[in-house]
Order: sequence, then C-alpha cells, then structure tokens
Amino acid sequence: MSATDDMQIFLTYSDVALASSLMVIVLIVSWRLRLTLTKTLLMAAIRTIVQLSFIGLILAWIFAREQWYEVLLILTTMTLIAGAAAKNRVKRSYKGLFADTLLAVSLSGVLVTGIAILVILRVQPWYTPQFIIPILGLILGNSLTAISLTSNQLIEAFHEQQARIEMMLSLSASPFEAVHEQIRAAIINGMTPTLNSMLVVGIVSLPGMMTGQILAGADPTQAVRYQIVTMFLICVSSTLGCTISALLIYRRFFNSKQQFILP
Amino acid sequence: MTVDNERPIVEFKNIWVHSKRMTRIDASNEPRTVKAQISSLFATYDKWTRKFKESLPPEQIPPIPKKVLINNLSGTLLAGQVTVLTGSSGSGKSVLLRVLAGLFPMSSGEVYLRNNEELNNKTYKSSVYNNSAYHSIHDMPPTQWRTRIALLAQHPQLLEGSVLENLKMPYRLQAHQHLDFNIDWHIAQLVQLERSADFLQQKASYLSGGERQLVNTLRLLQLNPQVLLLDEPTAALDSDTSTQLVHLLINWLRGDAQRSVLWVTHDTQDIMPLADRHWHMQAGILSEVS
Repeated sequence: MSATDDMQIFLTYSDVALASSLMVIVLIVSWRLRLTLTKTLLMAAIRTIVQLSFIGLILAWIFAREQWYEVLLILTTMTLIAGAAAKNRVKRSYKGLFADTLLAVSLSGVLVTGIAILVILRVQPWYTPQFIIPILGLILGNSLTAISLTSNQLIEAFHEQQARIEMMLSLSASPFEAVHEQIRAAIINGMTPTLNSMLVVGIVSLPGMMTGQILAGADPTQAVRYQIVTMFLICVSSTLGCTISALLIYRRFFNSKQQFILP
Repeated sequence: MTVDNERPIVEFKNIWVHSKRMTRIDASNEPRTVKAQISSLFATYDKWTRKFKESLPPEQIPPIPKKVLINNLSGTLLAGQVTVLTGSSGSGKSVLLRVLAGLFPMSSGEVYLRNNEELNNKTYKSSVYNNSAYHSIHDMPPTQWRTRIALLAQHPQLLEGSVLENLKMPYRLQAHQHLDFNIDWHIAQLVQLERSADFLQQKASYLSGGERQLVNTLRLLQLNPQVLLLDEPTAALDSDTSTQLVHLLINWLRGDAQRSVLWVTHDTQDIMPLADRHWHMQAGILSEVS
C-alpha cells in the first residue's frame, strides 16, 4: 500500500489478495452453519475475480485505442447480453421474448445514453470509451433489472388471471382495457427498486459509483453531481424500458381478432 | 309473431377448432429414433444455472394425437328460446361458447348475428351494419360483437371495491361510454332478488359466492346484450340463490322477444324444464336431443 500526496491510494495485487482472503470468514460461517453454500461462494468469488479482470483488460485495450467501431462493438455486445439477461430472468418464456426484451433494453438504453453523452455531458467525440462504456453499463444494468421484473410479473399475471381478462373482454373491453390493471401493476413492480433507491440515496446508502469516485480521489461535490445525473438517467431508462416491454409483451397475448391467447 | 321473428338470432356454420399446439405436434409426428431415446436418458446438467435441463429438442417430444376441440358444428339460436347444452367436461361446450362470443380463435367457420335494427338505432350511431340482415363475426369489430353476444362465466370475477363500483365499471370502457349507468334498474332488480339497496354499498370481497354471481350477472345484463351464453353460472351456488339467478335470467329473456340464451348446465331439475331445445355435445360433436 502506498499513499501519494493527494491521498490517492493505489491498490496492488497483494492488496486485492488480502481482500479476497476475507472470503475465508464467509466460508467458515457457511461451513459451521451448514448453509451448503460453499461451492456457490467459491464460484462467486472466482467469477468476480475472473470476470472483472477480463473486462479490465478489454477496457484498458479499448481505452488505449479509441476506435469508434471497436467502441460500438463493445456497446452492442453489452446491449445483447443485457437483453439476454433480462429474458433469462423471466420464469415463463415464450417464443420471441428475447426480441421483446432486447428491443426494450436497447431502445431505452440507447436513447438515454445518447441524451447523457450528447446533451448533458457533451462528450467529444461521442465514442470516448471512458464515458460511454460506463454510462451505458450503468443504464443497462439498472434497466434490465426493471425490465425483467416487469416482464416476469406481467407474463405471470396473464397466465394466472385469464378468467379475469376473459371477463373484461366479454364486457366488451378492448385488449388494452382488459389488461390495463395488470400492465399498471407490472410497470410499478419494475419501477419500485429504482424509486426506492432514489428515496433513500445518501441517507441509507451511498451508491457504489459515488463511493468509488470519492475513493479514487474525486471531489465529493463533483461525485454527488455525477450521482444525481446517473440517478435520473437510470430512472428515465427504467421507466421507458418497463413501458416498452409491457406494451410489447401485451401485444403477444392478443391476436388480430382481439382474443386472448397464450403465446 | 311475424315470419321475420322466426329467423334465427344466431346462426353458426361449420365451426372447426383445433387445439393450439397442433402445428408443433405435426412437426414431431415422426417416431423417435434410437439415438434420440439414448440421448434422452441423459438430462443435460447446466453448470451455470445448476439445474437439470428438462426441455428436450422438438424431435424428442413424444407425438400427441392431433386434437379437434370443435368438429364441424352448425346450429341456430332462435328468438325467445332457451337452448340447453349438456355434455361431459372436456367435450368442447365451453370452447363453443367462447367461439360464439368471439373470445376464442376458431380454425374455420362462420357465426352470423341477426341484424336487430331497433337495437342498432338505439345503441349504434354507425349505419355500416344496418344494411344487411346478418352480421358476420369476421366483419364486425370484436368489441361490438361482444356487446351483443355476452358470455357469463361459471366463476364470477369481481374487482376490488363495492358492488356499486363493480356495476359501474363497464361504463368506463370505450364500448359503453355512450350509455348511462341506471341505478334505478339495479334497485328494481335487487327487489326481485329480495335484497335492499344497501347491498350496493357492500364490499365485493365480503360477498358470498352466490351474491358474487348475482352481481356478475347484473353487471352483464345492464348492458342489454342480445344473446347470453351461460357457462354453468349456477353450478357452484346453493339452491336458493340458484333459483333467484334462474328467475333473473328468464325474466331478462322474456323482457324482449329478440333475445336468446344458450345455457350450459348439468342441472336437470331447475333448468332443463325451461329448455325449448336441448343440445348434447360429445368429443366436439353436437347433437340435438329430442
């Protein structure tokens, strides 16, 4: 460990090794209480190290090169993975769900990242990897959680409340009127984590990004401003993502004759 | 009765309904190969999700016989008549009701609804459908079709809130926005059902099963449909409430000569004597019982 004059502390490999040895405490707890988590814990620890080291290598390489098409490739890959992750968290899938979640993830992610880069931060050039990659990552990570919560709840509700939807339809409700209640509940469900985190941020929790910036030596007021901006970006992208995915999914459950069908 | 009144209210022709999974079953109709049998002995273990994968590739799904839910049905519902439909469960009765109500996709076939000009002038401003004697289910917007041919399910679905809020709910839908909620009609109906106007203020969640079905029925009848499709609405009710519901429905039928009821039931005591005609359904085939 070596402290420099402006209080930035550079982490060495042995520092990281020291931190990873803390996992021993977790393993002992798991073993004594027979949580049968040992394998999962080891796997989680190893994956954390491997995945982050890997992405660190890629980011260092991309940052050094600054080619727009390489950045675009990374952004596309991130979006595809986010779409697949959102789809995989949905318990009852159907053919075409991946297309729906991917569209929701990418539309909300690209739009909000675009606004952040071009309008708010005014990054020149737009593909400067130091900005666009972490911002898209933040937005995708949060909106994919919101989208998967909404999708899961909506599909579940459609399967379980078929009798109620049929009742609404036989009272001459349009498809949207018939499932409006389910759509509303699903979007609220997807938005809840984002809204809750906005309510307690700074009081109960210090966000990881802000903590990281402050640890890395940034001015706390700047770190706070960045955090406020990201909170709003996340909120907008979650709202958009939830709404888009709910509308795409609801369309799959009705045919052209406005009949409720399971896809 | 004029000759005109003897024309059927609803006529359906050559209705076929196949089970939804037909296409997938068609694709996998080939016998399983030895190789497929061997590979299916080993369920794949996904080390990332730590689960055994159960989904087999399409060619390994054992073939299920193609299922016909409704087998070339034709029939008519006549004005002022109760047509009773019986049959064991799974015979396709409920599917037929839902096809007629436009709620279930049919593979092929036609359903015609008689053009009731008097009703048209009252409820629809558009003159598009006034010219022909019959509407086809394929040409009429589904939400309009369902205002005319309404399904009443076995298990009443009420929303949270009071009885009154439940009864008012349909008027928020676009299809009924030109209608006004008539509380006096409901109070008059409740007198017939031996209930006071206080009933309207009760919470729907506190109602008994029978009361829920009464509310469900009133909610549908107030919208003045032409044809009622009843899917065993009295099956889960005690005999007193069941009798009240039957009276309510029969009174509704007698209220206008241009109405008709198709009634799925197992009740041979109370409902069968009211039947003008009796249909029986078995394995998707309809036959008239004389």
